[in-house]
Amino acid sequence: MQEKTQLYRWAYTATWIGFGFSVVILLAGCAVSLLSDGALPSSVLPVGDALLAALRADGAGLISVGLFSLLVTPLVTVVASIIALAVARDAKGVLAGLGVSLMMVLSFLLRN
Amino acid sequence: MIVLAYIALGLVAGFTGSLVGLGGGTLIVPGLTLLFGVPMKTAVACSMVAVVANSVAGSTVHLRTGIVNIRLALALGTTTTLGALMGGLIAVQIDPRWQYGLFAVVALYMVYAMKPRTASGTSPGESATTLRSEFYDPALGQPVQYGVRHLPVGLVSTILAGNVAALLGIGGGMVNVPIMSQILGVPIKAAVGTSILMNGLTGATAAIVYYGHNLIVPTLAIPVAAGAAVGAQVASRLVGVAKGSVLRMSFRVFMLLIALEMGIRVFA
Repeated sequence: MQEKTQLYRWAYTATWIGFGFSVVILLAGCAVSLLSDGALPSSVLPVGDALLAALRADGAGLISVGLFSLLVTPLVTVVASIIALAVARDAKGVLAGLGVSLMMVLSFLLRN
Repeated sequence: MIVLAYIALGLVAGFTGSLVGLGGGTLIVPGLTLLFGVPMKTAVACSMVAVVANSVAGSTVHLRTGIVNIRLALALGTTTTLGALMGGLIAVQIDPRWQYGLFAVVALYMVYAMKPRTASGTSPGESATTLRSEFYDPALGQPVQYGVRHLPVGLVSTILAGNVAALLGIGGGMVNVPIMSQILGVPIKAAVGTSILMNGLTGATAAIVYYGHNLIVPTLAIPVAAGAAVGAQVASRLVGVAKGSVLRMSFRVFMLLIALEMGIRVFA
């Protein structure tokens, strides 16, 4: 039961961190875009360019990073679950988690 | 002004979809394509962002209450993300008319699936030993323990759920929930909670492909996702008060009209 509690706590915390981070970045990006350009950008930037643009506090960069981090949040939840399952020595759970992570990483690698 | 219209679409879609248990994506794609003339692929990509946002926001609630079966979500996630990856890669290549046609078929399936029926005799897998879990059911006032039956059937079926969800920009709940509750023997509340977590895995896998193909338009995706998230939250609080039979009948008529319109677009 304690192992289950730990698994849920880790998954919950990771999901909240990912969700909170993406919402904050998205809101900041929307504010910067609306103040500087009067509108939201019409397309997202490639991930590498978005990170650099976000560091310059560019609205489109922040929005792209915010959207991408929202999309990556489920993967963060899975990774946190894998760690908790590994601590609980649940080999099948770890394997399933790694399978899901593999598919999500593949989608990133094959995205173009 | 158009941003407000997108927010309104997200609100209505999130509210209605969640109230009848199908998620917002079911109405977002037809709303964007039929009302606003957005290209199918862009609508699917933006809807997927809303599906992920809804899943992540909903999962924070369901993980806290412990109603989600994380081990089951990961097990089924291996195949549903495989289906979503294939669906995402196919969706960016195919003629959008295929998506209109498939959406028409899925909409007709929903009309059928939401037909009122008597309670099923399928009992939860209380004695099953695979992926056992438990959650506290406030309605019963006691913990519910269950295991999972026929996992291989679930693994194969969720490939299809992930594939269709990715191709059409909808959550996989309409396939995943019946599979989990009717075949795997998961209690309906746990099935819904687990499906919400799985929608995020499916949606994210496909949406990352769409992101790479520059199909996600922030001016569309952000207001629609924000509206859908708020609509779904409101619906989750009203679900016990609303008159289910009237809602379901209205939704079925609406989906029938959408199926007709989508079907016409295949030949347009």
